[in-house]
Amino acid sequence: MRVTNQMSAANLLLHLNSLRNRTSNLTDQISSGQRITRLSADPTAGAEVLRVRSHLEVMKGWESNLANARSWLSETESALDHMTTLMQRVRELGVAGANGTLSGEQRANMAIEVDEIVSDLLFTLNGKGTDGALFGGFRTDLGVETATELPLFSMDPEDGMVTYNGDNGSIRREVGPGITVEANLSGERFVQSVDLLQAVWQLSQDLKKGPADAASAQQLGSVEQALTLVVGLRSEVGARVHRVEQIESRLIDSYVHLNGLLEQAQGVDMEKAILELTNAENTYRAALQVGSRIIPPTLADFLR
Amino acid sequence: MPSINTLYTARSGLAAARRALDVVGQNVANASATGYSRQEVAQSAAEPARYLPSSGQGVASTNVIRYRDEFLDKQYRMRNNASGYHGARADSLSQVDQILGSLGDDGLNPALNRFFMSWDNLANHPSLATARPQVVDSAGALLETVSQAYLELLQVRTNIDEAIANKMVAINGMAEQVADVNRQILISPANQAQAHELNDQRDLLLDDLAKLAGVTVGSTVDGMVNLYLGGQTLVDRDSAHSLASVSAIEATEPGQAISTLFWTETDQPAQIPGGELAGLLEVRDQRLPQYMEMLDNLMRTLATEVNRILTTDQFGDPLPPPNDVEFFTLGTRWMEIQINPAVLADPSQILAAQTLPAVAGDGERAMQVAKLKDVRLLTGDPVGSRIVTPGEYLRSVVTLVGLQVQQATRSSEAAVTQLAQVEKQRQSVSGVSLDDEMTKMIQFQQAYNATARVVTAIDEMLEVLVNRVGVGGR
Repeated sequence: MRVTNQMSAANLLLHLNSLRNRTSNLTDQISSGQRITRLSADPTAGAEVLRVRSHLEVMKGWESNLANARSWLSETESALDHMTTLMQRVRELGVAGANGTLSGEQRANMAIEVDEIVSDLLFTLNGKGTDGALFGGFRTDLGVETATELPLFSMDPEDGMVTYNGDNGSIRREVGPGITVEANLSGERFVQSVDLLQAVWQLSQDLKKGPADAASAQQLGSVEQALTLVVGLRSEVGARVHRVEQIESRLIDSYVHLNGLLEQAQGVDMEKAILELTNAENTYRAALQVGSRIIPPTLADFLR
Repeated sequence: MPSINTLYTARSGLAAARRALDVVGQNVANASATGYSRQEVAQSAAEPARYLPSSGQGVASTNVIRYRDEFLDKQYRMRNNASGYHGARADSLSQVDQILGSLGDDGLNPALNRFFMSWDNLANHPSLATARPQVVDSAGALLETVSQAYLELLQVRTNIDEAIANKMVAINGMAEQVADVNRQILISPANQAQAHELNDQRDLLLDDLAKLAGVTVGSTVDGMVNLYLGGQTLVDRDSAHSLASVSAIEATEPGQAISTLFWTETDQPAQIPGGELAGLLEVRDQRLPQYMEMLDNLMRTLATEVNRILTTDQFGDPLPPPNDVEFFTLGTRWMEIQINPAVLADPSQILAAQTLPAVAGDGERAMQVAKLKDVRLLTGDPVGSRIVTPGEYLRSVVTLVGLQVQQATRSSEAAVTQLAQVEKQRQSVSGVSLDDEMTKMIQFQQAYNATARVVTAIDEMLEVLVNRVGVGGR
C-alpha cells in the first residue's frame, strides 16, 4: 500500500492519544482505589454495587431494630423474673396457710405479706421500659395511675376486680427480609385464661377469713396455675431473646459477605493496575521515540 | 538534417517538463492541506502530423490527473455518518450519565432508602417528638434529589435543542456552498486545475454533510452532484433547498419548547436519516423523555401509595377528617409532586397508628409505608414484563442509562476507528508523498536539462548550417 507522510503522522497521533487515554484511566483508578466511579464504566458491576449498597443500608435499619427489640425483651424478661420469684413465695405461703394448725395471728401476718406481694405485682405489671409501658400492648403511654391518666392495671381492693386498660397490640420490629420479631408481651395474657392478680388477692382473703377449708384448696390450685402462667411467659420471652441473638449473629455474617462483594465489584486490584500503568508508560515512551525517528526524514534531506 | 521541427519538438519537451514541475510544486505546497488530492501530469506523445513524413511532433501534456477514489469517498461518507451519529449520542448521553450514574452516597438510591427508614423509625417510636419531622425531612430530601435530576435532564434537552438548531443552519450554509461549487464546475471545464480545486472543495463539503446529517450523493453526467437528505432533494444541481425549524411547546409531556425541522419550500417535516443530527434527535425525542418518564413514574406511584395507606382504612374506604390529609400533593404534569403544605406546617398530622382513635404505641400504618420498599409496585424495565420494588425500579433506570451510555461510547469508538481506516486508504490514494514528489522533481528537472541540451545542440547545428554552409574556402 502506498504510504504518505500524512498517514504516518496521523497514525502516530492516533496511537499516542489512545495510550494517553489508557494512562489517564489507570491513574484515576489507582489514585481513587475504585475501579469504577460511574455506572457507565461497567454497568453490570455498577448495578451490583448499587444493589449491595442499598442492601447494606437496609441491614443497618434491621440492626437497630434488633437492638431495640432486644432491649424490650430483656426488660420484659427481668420483670417476669421478678414476678416468678413473687409467685413462688405466694405458693409457699398458700401451702403453709392450708395448714389447719396455724393461729389467727400467724394467718393475719401471712395475709399481710400476700397483700404486699399483690402491690408489688401490680407495680411490676404497670412498669415502664425505655419505650414505654412493658405490658400495655399499644398503650405504651399508660402506667401507674396519675392525675390525668388511667392506670394500666388496677385492682379494686374490695372485690379483687382487675381492670386492664391496655390493649393486645403486638409491637413488631422488622429484622430481616419479611421477618418481624414481636418485642412485647400484652398485659391481656395476665387476665385472660388465668386472672393472676385476682388469684393472689383471693388467697389473701382466704387467709384472713379463717381456718383452712375446701375453698382454699381450690384457691391454691389457681395460684399454681398463675405461677405456671408466669413461668411459661418467661420461657416464651426467653426463646424470643434467643432468636434475636441468632438473627443478630447471622446479620454480622451477612455484613462481611456483602462487603466482600462490594470490594470485588468496585475495588481496584492495585498490583494489576500498577503493572498495566508501567506497561502503558513504556509503550508511550517507545512510541514517541520511534515516531521521532521515522516521521522527519524525507528525500530532500539527502539531495544535493 | 536538423530542422526547425526538431526545435518545436524540443520546445514541447521543455514546456511539458515545466508543466510537470508546476504540478509537483503544487502537490508539495499542499502536502498537508485537508482534502487535497494529489495531481499528476499525464504526458503522451503528440499526434503525428498527417500527410507529412516526420519523426514525431513532441510531447503533449494531455491531462492533469486528479487521484481520487470515488468508491472510497462513498465508504468514508457512510462511516462518517455513523461516526457522527454515535459520537453525538455518546456525547449527550454522557451528560445524562453525570446526572444519574453516581455510585456514591449522593445518588438517588440512598435518598430513597433514607425515606423508607424514616418511616420505619416512626413505626418504631410513634410517640417520639422527632420522628415525624424526620419523616418530612427525608421525604423532602428524596423529592429534591429526584426533582434536581429531572430538571437537569430538562436542561440537557434544551441544550440539545439549541445544538440541533445550530446544525440546521450549518447544513443550509453548506448546501448553498455545494450548489455554488456545482455552478462553478459547470462553467470551468477548460481550466482543469481550477476544476480539480473545486472538486476537492466540494468533496470536503460532502464529507462534512455526511457527518452532520447523513446526506447522500448522486452524480450527474456533467460533473455536478445532487444531494439527498432523507428522501428529499437538498441540492439539485445548482440550486439548494433549505431546512427551517419551528419551536413550539410540546402538547405532550414533558411540555418543553422544542424545535421541529421541516423543508422551507414544501413545509413537509424533514426526516434526518443519520449523522450527528439524527443522534441528537434520538436522544432528545426518545432517550431523555424515557428517563424523565421513569423518574416521574417512580415518584408518582410511590406518592400515590403513601397517600392511600395514610388516608384509607383496611377496607379501602377513606378515613374521615382529620385523618384525610394526604402526605403528597400530585399535579398532572411530570414531577409535579410536592409534600402537602398542611403536613409541612404541622407534621403531627401524620397518622402512624393503624386503628383509630390512635394509641401511643401503635405505629402499624407507618410500618406499612416503610414496608413499601419491599412491595412490588412498578412495572420494571422498558420491556415491562417484571413487577419490581421501588428500589429495584430506580436501580433499573440508572442501570439502563449506564448501559446505553456504554453502548453509545463503544459504538462511537468503533466508528471512529473504522473511519480512520478508510481515511488511511483515501490518503494512500490521494495523499502526497514527499519522497515521491522529490523523485519526480529530479526526474523532470533532468528531463528539462536534457531537452535544453538538445536545443543547444540543434542551435549549434543550425548555426553551422546558416553561417558556415556556402562559405567554403574563405
